[in-house]
Amino acid sequence: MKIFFTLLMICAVFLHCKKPFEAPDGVVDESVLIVDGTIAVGNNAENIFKLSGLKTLQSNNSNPPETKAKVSIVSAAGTSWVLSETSSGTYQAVLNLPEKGSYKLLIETSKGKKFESTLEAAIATPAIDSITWKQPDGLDLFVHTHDQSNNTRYYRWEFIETFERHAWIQSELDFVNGQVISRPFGDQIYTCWKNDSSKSIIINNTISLSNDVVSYQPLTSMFKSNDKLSVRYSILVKQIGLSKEAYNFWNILKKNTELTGSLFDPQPSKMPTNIRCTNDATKKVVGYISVAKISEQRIFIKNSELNVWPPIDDSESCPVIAKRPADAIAMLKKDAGLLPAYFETLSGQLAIASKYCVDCRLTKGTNVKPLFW
Amino acid sequence: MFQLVNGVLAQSRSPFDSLVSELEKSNPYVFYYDKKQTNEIKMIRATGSLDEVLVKIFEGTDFVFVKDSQGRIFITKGFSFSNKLPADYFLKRTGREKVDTSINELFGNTVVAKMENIVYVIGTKGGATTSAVISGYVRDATSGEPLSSATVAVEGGKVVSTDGFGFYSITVPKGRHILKISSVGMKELIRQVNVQGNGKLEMEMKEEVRSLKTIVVAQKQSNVRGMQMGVERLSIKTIKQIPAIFGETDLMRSLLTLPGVTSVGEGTAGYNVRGGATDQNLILLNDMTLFNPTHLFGFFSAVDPEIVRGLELYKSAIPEKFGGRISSIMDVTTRDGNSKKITGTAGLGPLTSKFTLEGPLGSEKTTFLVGGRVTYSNWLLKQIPDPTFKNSKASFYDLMMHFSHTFSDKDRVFLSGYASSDRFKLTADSTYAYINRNINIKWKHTFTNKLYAVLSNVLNQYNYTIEGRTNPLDAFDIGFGVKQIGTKADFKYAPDNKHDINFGVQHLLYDLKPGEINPLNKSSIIKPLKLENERATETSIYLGDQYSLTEKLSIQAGLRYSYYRYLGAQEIYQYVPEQPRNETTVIGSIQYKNGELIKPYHGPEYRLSARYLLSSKSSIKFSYNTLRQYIHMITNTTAISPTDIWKLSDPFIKPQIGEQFSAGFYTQPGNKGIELSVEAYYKRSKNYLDYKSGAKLILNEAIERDVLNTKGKAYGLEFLVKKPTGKLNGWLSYTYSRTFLKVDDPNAGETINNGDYYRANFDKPNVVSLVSNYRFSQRFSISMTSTYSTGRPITMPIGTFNMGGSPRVYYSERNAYRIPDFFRTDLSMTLEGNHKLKQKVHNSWTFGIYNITGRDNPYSVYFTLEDGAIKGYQLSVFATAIPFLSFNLRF
Repeated sequence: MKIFFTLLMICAVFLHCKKPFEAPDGVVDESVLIVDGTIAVGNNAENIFKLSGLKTLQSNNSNPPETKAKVSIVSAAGTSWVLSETSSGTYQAVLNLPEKGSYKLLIETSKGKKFESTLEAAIATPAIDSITWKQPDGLDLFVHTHDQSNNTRYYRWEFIETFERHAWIQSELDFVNGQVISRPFGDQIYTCWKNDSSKSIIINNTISLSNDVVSYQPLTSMFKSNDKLSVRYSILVKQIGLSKEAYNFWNILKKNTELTGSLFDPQPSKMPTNIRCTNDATKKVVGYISVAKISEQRIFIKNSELNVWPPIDDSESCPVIAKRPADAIAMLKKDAGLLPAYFETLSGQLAIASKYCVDCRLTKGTNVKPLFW
Repeated sequence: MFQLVNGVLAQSRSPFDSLVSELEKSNPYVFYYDKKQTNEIKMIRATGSLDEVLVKIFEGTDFVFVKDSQGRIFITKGFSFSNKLPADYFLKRTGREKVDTSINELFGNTVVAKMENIVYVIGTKGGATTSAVISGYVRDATSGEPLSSATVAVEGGKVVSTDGFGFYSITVPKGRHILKISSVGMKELIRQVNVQGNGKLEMEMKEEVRSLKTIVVAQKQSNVRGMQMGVERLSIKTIKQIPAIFGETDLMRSLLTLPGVTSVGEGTAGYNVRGGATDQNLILLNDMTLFNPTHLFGFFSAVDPEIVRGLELYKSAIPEKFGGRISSIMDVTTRDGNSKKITGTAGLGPLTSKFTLEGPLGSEKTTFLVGGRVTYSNWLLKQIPDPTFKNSKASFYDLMMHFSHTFSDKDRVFLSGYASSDRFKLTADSTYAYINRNINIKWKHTFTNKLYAVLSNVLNQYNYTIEGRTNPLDAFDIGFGVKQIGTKADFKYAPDNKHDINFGVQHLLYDLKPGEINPLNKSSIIKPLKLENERATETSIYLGDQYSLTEKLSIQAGLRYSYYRYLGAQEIYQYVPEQPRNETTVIGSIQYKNGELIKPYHGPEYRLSARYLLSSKSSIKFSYNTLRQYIHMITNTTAISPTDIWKLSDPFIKPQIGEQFSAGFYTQPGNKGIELSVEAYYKRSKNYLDYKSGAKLILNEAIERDVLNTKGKAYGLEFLVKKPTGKLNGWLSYTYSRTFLKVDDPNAGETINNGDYYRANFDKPNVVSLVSNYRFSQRFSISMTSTYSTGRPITMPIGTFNMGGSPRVYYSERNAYRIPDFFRTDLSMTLEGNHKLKQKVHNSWTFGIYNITGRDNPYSVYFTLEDGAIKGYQLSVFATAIPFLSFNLRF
């Protein structure tokens, strides 16, 4: 709560009184199954579910995946769609579930524990009206939607950002077997693309409004000169209509994680779930399986559309060394951290630089252009 | 020389006769006495003035002497007579009625007893009874203010205390008595009386001038002899000695030094008494209920200490005249105002300024007292570097007015008014504001010196509003309000020296605006919503008697019966019985008309206690109490926040019921006035509210669907060593206490910790508190307080998982862990200006250091998501030694 923040600010200014707190070592509760995913109805809808266990706060490992489980979606009529494990603990399939049906998720772990979610009717999420941005100084992105029938009321959004970025120094050369050669066309290392996805839980409801209208729902914001926007940026927003109970789940999950333990915050709430273990009452589940049509929309923003958004200047961290080609090649041989950049037209010297300044693949994603770009 | 005494010519000379002749020679006086009586007087060597000699000779005997203006000295044995005619002797000479003094006589003359070595005659002779009632006021000699809780003791007999009006009433056998009157901070009075019949005796006490040489006066307000247990009294003098943050003397905070009183964190609003929740404490200021007694999110209490006479906190054995909350009653009384001259105080501190003004209005019969305080704490908020807070503003004030008027000996009227307001804006877009408004008018009528009544009418009001304007499309204005209108008549009847009877009737009307939201401007599409107003009445009657069975055993038995009616207009949902209440179990609703009874609740409340004197210096006490509460605070945060709302009991939300057993041992070893006590208690409560996961607390049209009824149990042991007087004074207390809650209603649809008992937020098993003051001289004293307590329980994250793109936390069972322990020591020094009586303006400086060890006590521990990882932080509010300085003026 804001009040609490103010107290925190006051005291932080005066007294520097915030300090890290080490939680006592926890013992992993192995009876907990984590289920993350949504049953997506409609044509060619991707259904992905991730199953895992808990880990302690101190542990640096990733959560133990729940592998070799049998995962399927079952309709009210009993039709079953099977998902396959594409990587450890991740089960997915592209399905065409009829938009008007009711569905549930069935899981059987390799240890024989059976889980089942409550049969829920698919929510007809309205389309996204628009995604807009404002640039007061940094950049703020918003989503807008409305439901003519005033039925949806509870919303959740996820997004995937894709952005094009350039290496600081453009190089068409490569260094292979002690030779400086031209890079083949299509093997460029100057332009890269990278993806990022939403980290926080973005939910809202229109219960207190007379119309089911969401306007200026904040999605994300960036500080000025964030290099996601250094060339061109794209965001794909997924909008998921929720039931009241599912909204409650996400709301609690958000509150429980984002700020708890202060005096002006509620006690952490017990997370509701619509999944239960049918053959072992002691097993606990975290997760809530929503059934909905997922609406999507993508927009692009070019750096030139923005009002003064200079790229981050890397000239100091990327010095260019220009030497006679033989000396330069000797340096390249000695130090694998260097790459050839270009031949200076007048002097004929070979310019070399750190590979991080030349090869965008090392820090800025992949050089494979996404299909939608 | 002949002396004619009782018509008998003195024939033989006794040693006393010889002395008289000597004295008559050297002084212009003639002695009158009974020779038969004076024969026994033993002669001792005595020098000095006539009076000194006589006092010395008569010391330890029943003889008294009276001098008159005509040079006559009368010596009597066993009784005295006044040498003046009653003031109204000539006025009422004709047609004066003959009064049968054997029945409750109205006071004829009021005797003002000002001297120690004079015997005052009370009442008129006659009547068949062997005992008589003396009553009257005890006042401060300088300001004329009544002194409450002063003790009036008959040497070798009964002890009574003055009430809130400074009034006492005591039954004594007829004849000669010595009265000892004592009050904290006042010089002990000794008065000799000759009680011939019922009468009125007024006494004035002087402030105790402590000097280094005086001998320690023995403990005055004895916990041993008094009937009450579980009562803590703090005089304003003591409260002021306790070092306070920023030098702001704070009533609520001073309570936290007492055994059995804790809070969830430093600088939070609300306190917990013996394992009770914060909404279970009734806070009364001159009988007015304060719903939110704090400023600035709980940093300061909202009552200016300068106007306060003292406070009493009832932790158990709550008198039957109080009711409405199940954990404790805090009774704060203001002074009545100086009746002799206009005086005032002014104080300057780093965050607030305050003033008081008091004095007589026109005549001594009318007095006023006005006190106020304003803040300029904005500068503190301006220090926040974050630009989102650059528009932060905080302002508050509180104002108290109190008038009293004496119509006659029998009738006094009091008018009190209180207002406080807080307004704070934290970011540019939201403003919080809350106000308290209270007014109380009280009429005290004395029927006889055995019976008096107090009739009072009170209005208590509390409102808050929140305005939000982040986005013009959903700019809103949320409002909440609670109003109480009350009338009560309290009677006190002391028929003889064995009974002390209290009875009365009280009626309260609640009018609560549970919440509304409105669009703040035209562009906002916020749907206006107004929850239906809630109305209810609470009527209670009570009767209690304090009865001295024997010299050693006294019992107090009281019964309070409260009748609560929840009234329309209101639409009440009906649910499927024995099922969790939610949308799917609604089977309909009933629309109740305005004023129609929706649901009554009623029940008895028992207040029993007993005291047995083991010896003159130690006693044991026992008490059993039950209490009922019809108003609930709706909050699920650890500390009280200014946006918490209140809710009345309705068909689904049952009244909170509490009961407490307690027993104690009290003793005063030695003669240094040290007092030791041990009290143990066991408490149970039910229908305290907790909330379902994700419950919406404000603007909830059907809160009954989101509440969980909680049972509570608490027990504890409180040790206290107190030295109330002397150069070194203060107390040390240790409390061991536990508090557990339980939510196990199978029909609620949800339990906490599987329906087992779990630790309450405020369960702090070990608490040690030291309050000490050392007075170096009249003008300079040092105070130190120290507190240690076990850390408060919290629900800790014990695991993480990924969901929605980030790591999330998995929590332990409710309150399974604790934050680190708390320890703090504060120091303050007070230097007073010189004490010349004639000086117009007196000043004092207080310098102190808060948290002198600089320990970073955890205020809270919280966990947050930072860069995709869960990080834990410990936050301390006053994590370093904070010096403060304040300046006060008295004129």
